[in-house]
Amino acid sequence: MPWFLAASIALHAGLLLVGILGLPRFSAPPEPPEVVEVTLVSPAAPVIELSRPVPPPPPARPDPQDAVLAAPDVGETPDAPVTPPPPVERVSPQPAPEPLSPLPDGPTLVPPVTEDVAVAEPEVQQPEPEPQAPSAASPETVTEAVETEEQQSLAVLRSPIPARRPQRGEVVETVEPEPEPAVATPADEVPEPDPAPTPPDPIADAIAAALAAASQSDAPQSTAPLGSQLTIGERDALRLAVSPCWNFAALSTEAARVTVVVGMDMGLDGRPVAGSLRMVSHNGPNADVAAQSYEVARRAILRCQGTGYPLPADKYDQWKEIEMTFNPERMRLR
Amino acid sequence: MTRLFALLAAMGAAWAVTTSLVHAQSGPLRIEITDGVVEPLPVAISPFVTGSLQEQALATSLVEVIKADLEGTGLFRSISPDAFVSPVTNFDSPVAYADWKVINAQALVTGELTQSGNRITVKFRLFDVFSEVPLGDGLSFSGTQADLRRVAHKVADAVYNRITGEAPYFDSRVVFVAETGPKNARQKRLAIMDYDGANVQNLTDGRDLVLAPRISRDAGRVLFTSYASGFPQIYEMSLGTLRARPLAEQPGTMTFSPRYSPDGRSILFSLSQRGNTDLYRLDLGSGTRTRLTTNASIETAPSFSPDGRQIVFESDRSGKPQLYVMPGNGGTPQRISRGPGRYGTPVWSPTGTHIAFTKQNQGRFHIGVMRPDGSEERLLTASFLDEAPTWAPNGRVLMFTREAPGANSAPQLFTVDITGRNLRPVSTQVAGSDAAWSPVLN
Repeated sequence: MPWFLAASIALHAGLLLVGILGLPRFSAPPEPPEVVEVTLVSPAAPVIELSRPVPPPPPARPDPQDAVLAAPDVGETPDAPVTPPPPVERVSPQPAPEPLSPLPDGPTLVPPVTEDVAVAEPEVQQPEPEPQAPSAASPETVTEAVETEEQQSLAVLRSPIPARRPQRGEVVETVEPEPEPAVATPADEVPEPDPAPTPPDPIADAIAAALAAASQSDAPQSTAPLGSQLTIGERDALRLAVSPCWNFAALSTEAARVTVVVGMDMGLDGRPVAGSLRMVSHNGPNADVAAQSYEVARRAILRCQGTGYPLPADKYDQWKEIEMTFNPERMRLR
Repeated sequence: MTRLFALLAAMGAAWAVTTSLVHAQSGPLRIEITDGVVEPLPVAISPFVTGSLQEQALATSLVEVIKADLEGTGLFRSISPDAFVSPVTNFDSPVAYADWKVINAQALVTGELTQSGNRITVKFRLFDVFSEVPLGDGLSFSGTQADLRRVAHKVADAVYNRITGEAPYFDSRVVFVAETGPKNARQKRLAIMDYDGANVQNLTDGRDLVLAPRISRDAGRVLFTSYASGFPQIYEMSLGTLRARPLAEQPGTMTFSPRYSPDGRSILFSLSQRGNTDLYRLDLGSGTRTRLTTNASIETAPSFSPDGRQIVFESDRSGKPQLYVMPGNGGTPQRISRGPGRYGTPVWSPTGTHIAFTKQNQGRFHIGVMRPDGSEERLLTASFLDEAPTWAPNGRVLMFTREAPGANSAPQLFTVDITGRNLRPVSTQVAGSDAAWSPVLN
């Protein structure tokens, strides 16, 4: 057989195959996600404390739980059964649920704040966020969108103005006793004419102001002598010391709505006693979300403690136990 | 003199009032913190422990992906290894928290990578440095060497989830339209990639115009609209075989804007016939088609709520495109968008809490979100052209198409956090539009 005849037969056969099977595909199916096996690792090694000798690492997998959770040998683990055709169905089984190991110092719930304490510290009694009523034409909160609109929204959402200090002329009204309930005046009684308004008396005003200041709810909260009460400045110093470490960035959108109260015992050095931090209360939708908020609050307290919070040692009795309310309402509006 | 006595008496009374209050109010010191900061959380990712140079090279690549994932959220900042006081050299060694506090690391990731043939095993642990506690259990992932990026995404997902409380989303894929060529002769191909733009693979050859792909919840199928017949027609493609089949064929009609139901057994789509466009539901098993709207207006872009009980869609029945919500089997729709401008392409979030949309107003396009009842509308972006949002599996991030003006401009995919922060482009290497985000892979 001449060589050109053989070549012709081969070419025709090739053309016939192309006609039957078609041209090769332009694109191949995407590589299916390969199997990724997930297993739990043995518990973390204990905390190393620099002031003590480093303890040796714990024996490998001492926990009997690890017998179950130990990573199976990859080579011995058969691949998940492949069910054609979707490659994504070849992926490994769902990772085993990861039970969160309880944290050493919380979160734990303690009884809610008592009423008398709430009176002493009105800041704790922030109004509950108003439920978002469906609005027919809801306001737009613009981020990248339109700067002018953003400024407007910020103007609306600015933080509430703190109450003014009582002015002398006003205090008289605030401390005035509630008017007596109106008593029906007999018809035949002729009411006495109102006395002429008296000119403001500076001494009376001062007395009223003193009484008003004394009855303000910002009064100190312990049985210590007045001289050892924490001043407003001292309380603000503590507040300002913690705030820079309260980082909102890595909070879920749900957790960023939760107000959490963290309780702690304080050492004389102005630092929280190790292990005393606890979640006192929260208004989160569930424990998991509250735990996220608590962790961020706890991290703030521990991060900013440094060598101790700026608290007067001679007033230790006033701050040996602290409850910090982390209220994110203002932060959410930023 | 009398006045002086009166003043003294009043001061005494004030002291008495104060004292009585003091004695009545004992308990802990109460402080309220209302101001904080919003800044990326400093995370230290210690180089993963390895036993060979080859493993070390793999571990370096792995850590780079983890870093990119975490930093890409805008919520984390990885601390340079140059600052590390004592990098972890033994995966099971106790953590020297003080060394990590010194560099202000708030979270610490330690890990180990081992290789056996073509298989790799990656272990990791996460620690809250200032609280000196591990965050959750350590995990181990294993797969082939080609799975390195997926393993890295899994590690990053676990870290992200444990710190923020948000569901993960890094180990996911995105189907989109890859665009090449000049604007007046652009080729559009269906393509699939990792969520971060890596591993782009074309699914179609570019001969036919394709639009609006939608990926199924099992990430195994893709719905899209093709002009292969000269008219818009919806198709379903298997990602395993790349074979596509037409759906809801009916002569004289155009079908488009498809989307899967949450269970993947049926689809919603628009059908245009004799100038009227309405919404339909097609059972993929039986082929049964149900008409959901009967208005003379244009109804399109339907999207199920995650529970399948409601549908949000776009309609111009009021004179201009607005968003409406109706029961999953049809019924009376309620308008939910009432602001100025035109609203379109609504997409229900996987968590059910929000609806994302495109808004056009005063010559600008926006991507926005609102509650399903229309409240709390927020515009997250603004540009010459922003459109076609798709949700990350956790409902925290949106991906969308942005295009600048100009004859030579090309569309590009961007992501933005639901808070409106952290707007950033997706590195797709080719122009991309019309993204559809898959659920997290198993």
